[in-house]
Amino acid sequence: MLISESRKTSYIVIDKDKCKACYYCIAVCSKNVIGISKNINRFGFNYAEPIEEKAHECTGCKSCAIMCPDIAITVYSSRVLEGDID
Amino acid sequence: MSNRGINDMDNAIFRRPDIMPDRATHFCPGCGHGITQRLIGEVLDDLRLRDKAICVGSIGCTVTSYLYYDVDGTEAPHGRAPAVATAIKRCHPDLHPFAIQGDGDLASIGMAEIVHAAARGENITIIFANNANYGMTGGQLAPTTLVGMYTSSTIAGRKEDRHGFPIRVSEMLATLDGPAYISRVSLHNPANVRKARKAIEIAFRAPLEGLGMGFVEVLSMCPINWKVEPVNAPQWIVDNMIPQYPLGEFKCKPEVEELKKAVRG
Repeated sequence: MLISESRKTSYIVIDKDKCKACYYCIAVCSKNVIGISKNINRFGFNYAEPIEEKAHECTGCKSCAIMCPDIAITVYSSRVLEGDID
Repeated sequence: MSNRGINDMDNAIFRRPDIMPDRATHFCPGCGHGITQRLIGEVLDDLRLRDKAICVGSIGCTVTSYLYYDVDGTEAPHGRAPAVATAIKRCHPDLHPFAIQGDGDLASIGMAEIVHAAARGENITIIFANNANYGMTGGQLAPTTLVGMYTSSTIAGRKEDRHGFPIRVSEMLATLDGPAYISRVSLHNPANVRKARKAIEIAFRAPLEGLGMGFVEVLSMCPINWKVEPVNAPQWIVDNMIPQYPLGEFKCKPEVEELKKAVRG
């Protein structure tokens, strides 16, 4: 297996049942990765969720998690291997 | 990518502090208390204080702070958290009591306790969450309410001639010799939250070294009682609170300057 490139990606997971829809995370995200869900959670809030098409742009800056008052956001970093197999 | 399963190989670079049980908070949407409590949880984790820390619950929105930490805790009468923390520290010098107090609790009914605890130089940590009103009881006038600010008990705004002027607690306590570290921080953007975390860590380290009280005033969002949208609340702090309550360090003993070098961030 030949690994041509390996790069680090980050992604966030939002616990929708802890989100109280203050949207601080949306305000501070410089890549606009986070959006407002059409669905509501058990509190009746339109919770924040990562936007599917933009999720790969997350840089792992953690600003959203740092501003979240409800500790609903966990930030993960993973090493993705993009390679040709020959 | 967002809906894929979490891979075991993936590394959580930001997660809930281990010392905080997995439970939703009782705070209103956008409340800064949640951020303050998480920062304290991170510091308790980093300093490995799970067996030493004692959480002293005060009255106000912070009343159930013992629910959010996996440490022993006790409850104090209104405003008396510094007095209860003093008793714990003097009876058990190996333990480390800390309290989160709101501005109605600390600056109003508990003013005598905090001033005398600071003057005695007790080795305790006090985190003062200042949101310029009595949050839990419905947003009434507090000693820290800004001039001209509407609250549910000053419906025409706070007037200097009738209600007096707001109290700057950090500056007042900084005139005393007892406290080791006094600082005012804000939570209005991620950079300032990082600074707040650093200040809180120093406020825990200084009393642990026996240097005196660690005191951090946190300018905290209260969008529900300020009657602003949560997303506009950080800007409200910048526009209204920081001109009245300037950020910065007001007291830092020379020994604490040495400690600061060990604090990351």
